[in-house]
Amino acid sequence: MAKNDLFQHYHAAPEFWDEMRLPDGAVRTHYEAVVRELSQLPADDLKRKEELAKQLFMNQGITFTVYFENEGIERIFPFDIIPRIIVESEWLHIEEGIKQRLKALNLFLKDIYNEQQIVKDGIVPASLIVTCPHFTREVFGIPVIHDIYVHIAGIDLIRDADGTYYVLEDNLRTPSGVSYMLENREITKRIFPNMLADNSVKKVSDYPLILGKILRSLAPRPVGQPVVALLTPGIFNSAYYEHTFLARYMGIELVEGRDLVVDDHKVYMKTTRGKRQVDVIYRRVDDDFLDPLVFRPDSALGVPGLMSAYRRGNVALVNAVGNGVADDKAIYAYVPDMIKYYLNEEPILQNVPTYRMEDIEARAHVFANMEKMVVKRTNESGGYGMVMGNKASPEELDGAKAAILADPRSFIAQPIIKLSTVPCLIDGKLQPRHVDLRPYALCGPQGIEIVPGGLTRVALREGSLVVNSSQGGGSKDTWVVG
Amino acid sequence: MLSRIADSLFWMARYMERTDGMLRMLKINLITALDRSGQANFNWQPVLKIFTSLPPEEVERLSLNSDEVLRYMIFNKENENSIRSIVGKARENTRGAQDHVTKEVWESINEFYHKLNDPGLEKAIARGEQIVMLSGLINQYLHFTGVAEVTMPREQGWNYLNLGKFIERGVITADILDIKFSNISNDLANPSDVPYWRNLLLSLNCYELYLKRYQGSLDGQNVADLAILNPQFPRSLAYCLFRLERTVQHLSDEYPENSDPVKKIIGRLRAKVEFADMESISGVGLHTFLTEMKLNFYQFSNALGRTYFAYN
Repeated sequence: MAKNDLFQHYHAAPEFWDEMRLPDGAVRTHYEAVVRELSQLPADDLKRKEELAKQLFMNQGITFTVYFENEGIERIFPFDIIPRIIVESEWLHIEEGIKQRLKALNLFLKDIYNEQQIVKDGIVPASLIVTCPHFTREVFGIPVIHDIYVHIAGIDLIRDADGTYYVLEDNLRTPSGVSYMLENREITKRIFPNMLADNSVKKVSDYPLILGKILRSLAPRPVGQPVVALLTPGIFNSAYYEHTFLARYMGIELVEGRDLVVDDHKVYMKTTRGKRQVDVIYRRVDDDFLDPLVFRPDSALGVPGLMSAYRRGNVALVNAVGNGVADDKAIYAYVPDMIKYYLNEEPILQNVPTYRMEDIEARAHVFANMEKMVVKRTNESGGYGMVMGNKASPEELDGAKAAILADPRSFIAQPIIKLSTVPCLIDGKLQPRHVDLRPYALCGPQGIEIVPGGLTRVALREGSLVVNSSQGGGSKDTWVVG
Repeated sequence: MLSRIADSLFWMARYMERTDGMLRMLKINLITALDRSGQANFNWQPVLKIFTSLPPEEVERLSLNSDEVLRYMIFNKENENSIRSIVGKARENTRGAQDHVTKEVWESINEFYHKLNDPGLEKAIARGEQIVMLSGLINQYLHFTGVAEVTMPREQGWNYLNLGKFIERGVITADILDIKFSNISNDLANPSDVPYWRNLLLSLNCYELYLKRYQGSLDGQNVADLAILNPQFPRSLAYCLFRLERTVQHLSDEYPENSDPVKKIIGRLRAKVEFADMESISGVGLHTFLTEMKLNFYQFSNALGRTYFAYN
C-alpha cells in the first residue's frame, strides 16, 4: 500500500518517450524497485531528503555565484533527488558507440593537423576546415604523445520519441560537469542508501583514478613520479569547484597561470622551494587564453611561452590544443562519414539530422519548416546562440533567417528532437521533465574507458527542452543497473 | 608546495585566529558590560581600537552601545574587519588552496561562512540572545581548529598554518596588553580595580590560570608577567614565539638553503622574550617593549613573505 500519492499524479505526455512509464501507464521493469521504495516513503520524508541534499551541496561549497545588485549570492546547481535509471544493455550500446566515435575523432584530429588526407579524399570540404574559428594553425604538425588529442570527452546524448539514442554534440575541448556526476552519487548514498544498494547500481567513483593514471602516463620525461598539474582560471570561474575536486581526488597540484613560468622551453611551478618542472598539464583554460604570446595577448589566465614548451614536446597538454575543429557543429555533421572513412565501420550511434546552412537546398528546406527546427551557432555552447523554432516569435525567426543569410557557415539547423522525459520531484509532486545524458569518456594509451553513468541534465521548467545550466537546467544522479 | 598556496594558508590561519580573538573579546566584554555595578557605563573603546580602523569620533559614538558594536564588528559588510568579512577572506584563501587543506577543514570554514551569512543570525541581537550567539560562533571556530588538528597532515601546509596562527595570536596579545595598559598610563603598580584586571585576564582566556598561579591578588605586574613571559600559557608572547621558532625549524629542515633571514629574525625575537624579566621590561617601559614586539612580528611576517610566498 502506497504511503503517498506521488505516482498517482504522474502524467507523461504520449508524444515523448518516458523512461519510467510505458505508453500504457505500466512502470518499466528497471524502475519497479525504485517506484516501490519511493511509494513507501511518507511525503514529509521526501521533502526532508530534498532539503538535506541542498544542505549537503551548500556545506561542501558546491556552489556558483550569481551577481545581483552588486552582491554575490551563492547558489547550488539544482539537483533533483529522483535517480535516472538506464539498463545495462542500453548502456553497453552507448559505450560501444562512444568508443567508436572517439576513436574516429582522434584519428580525424591527427589527420587534420598533419596529412589532411580526409580533405584530400574529398570527404570533408576544405572550405569547412579553414573557415572553422577553432582550426588552429599554430599547432599544425606538432606531434602529441600517443597520438591522443581527446583525452577527455563529454559526448551529449539524447533520446527521441521512439527511445533511440542520438549524439547531439561532441564536447572535445574542456568538457565540465563530471564532478556533479560524482557528487550526485555521493548525495544519493546519503539520502537513499538502501535504494542504491538494492538496485546494484554500477559505481562511478573510479573516474578520478582512471584519469589520474592517464595523465601520469603522458609525461614526456622518463621520470618515475611525473609532476601533473591542473590549470584553472581561478576561483571566479564557475567550474572552480570541479577543478579543486578533481585535483584533490587525483592528488595533483591545482595551479593558476600566475603559478607557472616557462624557462628554456620548459614549464615550472613556483614553489616554496624554488622552481619545479611540470610534465603534464590538465588545463581547464580555453585554447584562446593559454598563451598570450601565441593566442589572445590580453589573457592573464595563461602562461607566456607555454606553446613553445608544448611544441618542443616538453609538456603534455590535456586535452590537446586545437580540438575545437572536431566539435564544431558544422563539422559534427561529418562524424558518421569520419567513422566510415577511418574505421571502415557503420556508426553505432546516430547523429541528429543536421542541415548545414551553406547548403542551399538544405537551407530552403529549413526556412520552409522553421517552426520544427532548432537553429544553432556552430561555435557556441552552453545553450547560447540557439533559436527554438517552436518557441520563437515571428520576429525572432526572421532575425535568425537574416543572420543565417549573412553568415551561413556559422549556423546549422536540426529538427527539434522530442527529448525523453523522466520523473522529477517538483513542488512535492512527481512530474515528467526532459533530459539528456553526458557520459565522460577517457582515452589513454590503454584505450578508451567510460565509467558507467554520466551527468543527466534536466530541463526543470515545464515543457522546456533546453537542459543547459545557464538556461534553468538541473541535474540528476544517473544509475546504470543490470 | 606552490608559493601562492603557502601564502593563502598563512593568511587563512591569520584570519581564523583573529576571528577567535575578536569573538572572545566581544563575549567577555559583553558579559563585563552586564556585570557593572551601575554608575559608570561600560566602554567599548579598547575593543574598537584593537579590532577596527574607525576614526576616533566614530569610536566615541559607538562605544556605549553594545548592540551597535556587535552589529558593526560581527555583521557589517562595509567593515573590512568584521567577523563576516574576515571569515569571508579566510574562506576565499581556503577556496584557492582547497586541494591543500582536507575536505573536512574546507567544509568547516564553509559552514562557518554560511552561518554568518544567514540573515537569521543577526536577529539574535534583537532577541537578546547575544551571548548565546557569540558562544555558537566560538564553537564554530573551535570546530575548525579541532578539525584542522585532527585531519591535517603534518606537512608543509601545516607549518604555514601555524606560522599564520601564532603570529596573529602574538600580535593580538601584544595589542590587548598595550591598549589595556595604556589606559592606566602603563603603570604596572597601578592598583586598578578588580573588574578591570579580571576583564583583561578573561579576554586573554587566562583568568583561571592566573588565579592558580598567583593565588589571588590581581595586579598589573603579574598580569603582564603571565601574558608576556609565561611559556605554559598558550596565548603568551613567550609561547607564541616558541611555536614560531619550532615551525621555522621544521621548514628550514626541508629547505635549508634559503631560510637564514627568517631564522635569524625569529631567533632574535625569541631571545628578547626568553631572557627578559618584568624588571627589564619595566626598564624600557611596557609600551616601548610591546611596540617593538609588534614591529618585530611585522618584520618576521615580511621576511616569510620574501622567502616563501613570493610568486608575483
